[in-house]
Amino acid sequence: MAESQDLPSIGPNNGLDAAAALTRQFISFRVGDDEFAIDIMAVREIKGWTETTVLPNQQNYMLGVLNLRGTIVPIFDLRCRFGLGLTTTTRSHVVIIVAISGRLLGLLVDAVSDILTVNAADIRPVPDVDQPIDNAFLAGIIPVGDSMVVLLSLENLFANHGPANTAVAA
Amino acid sequence: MSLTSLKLRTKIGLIVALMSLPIVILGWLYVSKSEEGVARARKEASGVTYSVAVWETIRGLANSALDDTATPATVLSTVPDLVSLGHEHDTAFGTEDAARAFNDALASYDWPRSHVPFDARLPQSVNFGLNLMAAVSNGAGIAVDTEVDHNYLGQALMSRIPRVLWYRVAITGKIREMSRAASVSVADLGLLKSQIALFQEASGGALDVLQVAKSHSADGRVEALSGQISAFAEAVPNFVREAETVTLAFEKAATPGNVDISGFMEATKAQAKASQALWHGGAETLTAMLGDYVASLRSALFTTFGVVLAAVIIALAASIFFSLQITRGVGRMIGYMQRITKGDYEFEVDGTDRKDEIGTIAGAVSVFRENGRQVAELTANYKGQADAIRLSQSVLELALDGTITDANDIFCRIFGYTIDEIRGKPAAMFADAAARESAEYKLMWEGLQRGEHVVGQYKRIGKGGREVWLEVSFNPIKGLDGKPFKIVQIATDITARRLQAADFEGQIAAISKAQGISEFSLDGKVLDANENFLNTLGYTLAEIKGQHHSIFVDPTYRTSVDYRMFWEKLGRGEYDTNQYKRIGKGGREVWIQASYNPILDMNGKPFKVVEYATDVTEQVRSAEALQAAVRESKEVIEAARGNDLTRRVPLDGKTGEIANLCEGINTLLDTMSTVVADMMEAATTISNAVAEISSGTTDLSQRTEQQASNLEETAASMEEMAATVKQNADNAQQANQLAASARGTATDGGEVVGKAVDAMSRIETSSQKISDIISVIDEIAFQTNLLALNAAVEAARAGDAGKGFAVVASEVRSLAQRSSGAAKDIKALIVESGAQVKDGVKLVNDAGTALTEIVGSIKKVADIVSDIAAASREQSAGVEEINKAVTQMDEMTQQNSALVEENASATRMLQEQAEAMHGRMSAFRLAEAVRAARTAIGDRLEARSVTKTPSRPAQPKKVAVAGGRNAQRLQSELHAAFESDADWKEF
Repeated sequence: MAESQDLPSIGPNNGLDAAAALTRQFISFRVGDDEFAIDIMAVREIKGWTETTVLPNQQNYMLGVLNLRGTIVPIFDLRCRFGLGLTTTTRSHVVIIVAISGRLLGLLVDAVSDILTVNAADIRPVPDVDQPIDNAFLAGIIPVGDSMVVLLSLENLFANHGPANTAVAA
Repeated sequence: MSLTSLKLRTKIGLIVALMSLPIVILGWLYVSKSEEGVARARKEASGVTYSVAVWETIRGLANSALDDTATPATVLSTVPDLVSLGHEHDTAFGTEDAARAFNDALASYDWPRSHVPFDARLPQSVNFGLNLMAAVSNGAGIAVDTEVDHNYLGQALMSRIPRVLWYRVAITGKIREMSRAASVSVADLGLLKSQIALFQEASGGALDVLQVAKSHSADGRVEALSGQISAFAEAVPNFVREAETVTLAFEKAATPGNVDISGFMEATKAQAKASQALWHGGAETLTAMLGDYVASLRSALFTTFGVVLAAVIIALAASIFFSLQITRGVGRMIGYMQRITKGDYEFEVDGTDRKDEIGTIAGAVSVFRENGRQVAELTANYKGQADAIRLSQSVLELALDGTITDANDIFCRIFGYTIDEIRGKPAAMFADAAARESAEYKLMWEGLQRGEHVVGQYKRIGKGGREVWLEVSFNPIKGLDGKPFKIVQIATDITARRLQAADFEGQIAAISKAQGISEFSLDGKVLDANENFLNTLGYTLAEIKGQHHSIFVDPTYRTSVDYRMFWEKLGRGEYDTNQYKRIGKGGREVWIQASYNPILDMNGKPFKVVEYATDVTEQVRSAEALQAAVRESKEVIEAARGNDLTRRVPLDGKTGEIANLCEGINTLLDTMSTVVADMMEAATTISNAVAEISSGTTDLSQRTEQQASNLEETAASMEEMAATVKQNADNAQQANQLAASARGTATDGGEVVGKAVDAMSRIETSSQKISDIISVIDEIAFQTNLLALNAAVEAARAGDAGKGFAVVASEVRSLAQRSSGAAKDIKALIVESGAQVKDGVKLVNDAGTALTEIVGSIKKVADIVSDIAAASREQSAGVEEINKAVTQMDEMTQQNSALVEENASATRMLQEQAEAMHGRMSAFRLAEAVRAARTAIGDRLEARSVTKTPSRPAQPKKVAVAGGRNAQRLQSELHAAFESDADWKEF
């Protein structure tokens, strides 16, 4: 995977080494009852849900595209991407526009919870489980009070939707 | 028009014409072909003319150049007018282009007035001329057809000699050009040499062609040109030698101008002259040959045309001859056949000895004639016979189906029709309807149709239903195939004979049926008697035959003088007619109306007596019986006049009308007896009835009084009841008013409930609006939150510079969250209040429903009370009316009482009258049986009235009814007699 220049890497290994003394900010959001977080620097915009233009013959979590001030942005249902079924959208649902590997895409989430400011050292690694593929989507776990927030690795989550692989995926 | 309608002669003519047609067509084709040849030759001739002009022009050009000063006008004796010739022929020959080119070239020389310089332009101009000539030759068709003699000469003139000319001009031009030039080039010399060689070759070719032309010229016209040809042939080598000499000189000489070319020029001129002479002569010869050619074509044409014409004429003549031969024979046969057709057989047939088809036809016609003659003779014979029958007897001709086809005058006269009236009608029209339908008639017709002969006498119906009797023979006429094809009916009118016979027979039969006839000899012995006579007297013929007439008379009369006188009178030949009394068998008395007629012999002497007798015994007897009946009837009627109705006319021995009359009188008396008895009975019955009425009237009087007192009590009770009912009605009216006011109050309560429901509904609407506003606030908070988040993201991306801004964003976010939370709280409150309002609405609605039910119930109560009030009013009115009725009843009862009194007095009068009538009726004497019967009925009536009277007080109602019914019957019977007034009827 190519490293983007304006994006600090949040991979599970190097993220921990390089940013030991730094504080980092994350946007946390809810999908269902679970809290997830992504690096605030990956976020380009947060907007309320609007209807998308559906494209034919797509994965079921691909909800279509939005015209974001001239840029066509694909919107993905994160709940569906996690295999929890399609989201029944309302006006209170939120789309987080993120830039991954130099391209924009939207993530449909139930609500944006908070902005977390965390010391890099506080980010816990993902416990090793038997399914390495699923684990690759997770960048770490941030404890917040008694609960915790799962830090997502967007690059891995949407690796198959890179420009080079679109044709193959389709 | 079909072929069959054409006459034989026309047909033959047609065939000849058709066969001549190809000859004529062939001839015409040949002529047109020849004409084409002539036209072609003419075209060639005009082409030659044009070519001569061109040639002359070329010569003018070339020769003008040979001399330094000469102009074409001086060289040529006459300058040909190419332009006008061109106008004439160019289009026909297709030489416009070539002519234009040549004329242009000529125009550049100021033709024909200026000298033509011998320069390089000249050969080109000459070449234009030669081209034109070649084009004219092609266009005019000169030297095209190798079959014709002048072809080769034409070729030589049009192509070969001009080519020689051109080479000559070219060579001459070249040599002159070189002689004037400063130096001679090797190329020019080479060209010159080759041109000389070509000239030589062209000249040789021209001579060869001329040689051939000579051999093809049978008449030696080309031979005549031999002089010119040899001159031309000589000029050629001369010219060639000179040219070669000059060429050598040019090769050797340093300056061409020094070479002497005068010899060459001389040779050139000589050559030009020779070729001119040759060409000119050739052209004349060619023209002449073309003339010959045209003439030969013409003569061939005329010959052929003559031959064809002669052949056609011969063919026509031959065909006319043959057709005349055939048609004359056929025409004669047709004449014979027409004569046979017209029935003329008295001629001999010519041509039977001919061997051809006409001869065969003639033989056949001869046989026809002979046959026809025999048939005609036979026909005349039969016709005579048939005419004879037709003149004497009625003849009717019928088709097999019975349709009338013909009838003669006699037939028509018998039946009274004209032939036109009956032709085409069925023969059955003459038969009467019964005969027409009969099986015999059908059988007869079937037999006729089979060809059977029928003879008989028939009745037929003429015009106007007149009967005609005919002696008829039906004769089916058979055709050659043995089957009948028509029927001839020959008949004689026998109506008169039939009528006379029928008349006599009928008269005698009629007399015999009506009268008794007997014949006596003059001495009175019976000779004969008919059935009627025998029946009248009861004898058989055997018993009386030969007996004397006196056995038929009374024994006293038998011996009287009168009887003797009677026979004497008859013996004198006088007839006697009278009503006679005669004695039948067993002494039976018989009366006859008879006439005794002596029959006179030829001498006028009587020889027998014929008696015509009619039995009048019945009439005599009935006259006697009538007298007796009248007498007896008179006696009986006399007795009846004296009130004695017991006597009757005896009916013994009376029959018929008399018996009826007597019976009628007896019945009249019976009826009178019955009437009198009935009247007596009625009087008794009236008497009894009146007694009953009398006692009934007394009862009635008592009951009327009782009724009056009862009515008074009833009236008093009704007064009390009316007061109670009125009170009741007033109370009901008050209750009604109270119910109405209760209903008004309940309705007002319902309206208040409705308003409360409206107010609740408005609260609900307001809550909804507040809820909407809160949703907007919530939305704003949501958006604000998003904006704050975006601001935070931007701040983070700005790094350290954005830290302050991040704090602000965080604050905004918390504000947004707080306002969102507040909105959510308000929303919860509003929802709660909405639910409470809904409960309130439900309660109010329940109250409203309850009130509505109350209003309904009150309304029903009010209605019922109102009904009660109305019913009470009606009751009050009803009681009032009952009161009135009771009063009226009281009055009527009073009146009834008075009427009962009147009734009693009328009854007494009635009883008196009944007794008077009974007394009057008793004057009649009636037969005992009638009287007994009537008396018995009277007694029974009496007994019944007596037995019933005592039981009346015990059963007053029943008796009143029975008595009433009886009285009613009597009342109607006596109504008229007593003229009782209308009040009686009402009771």
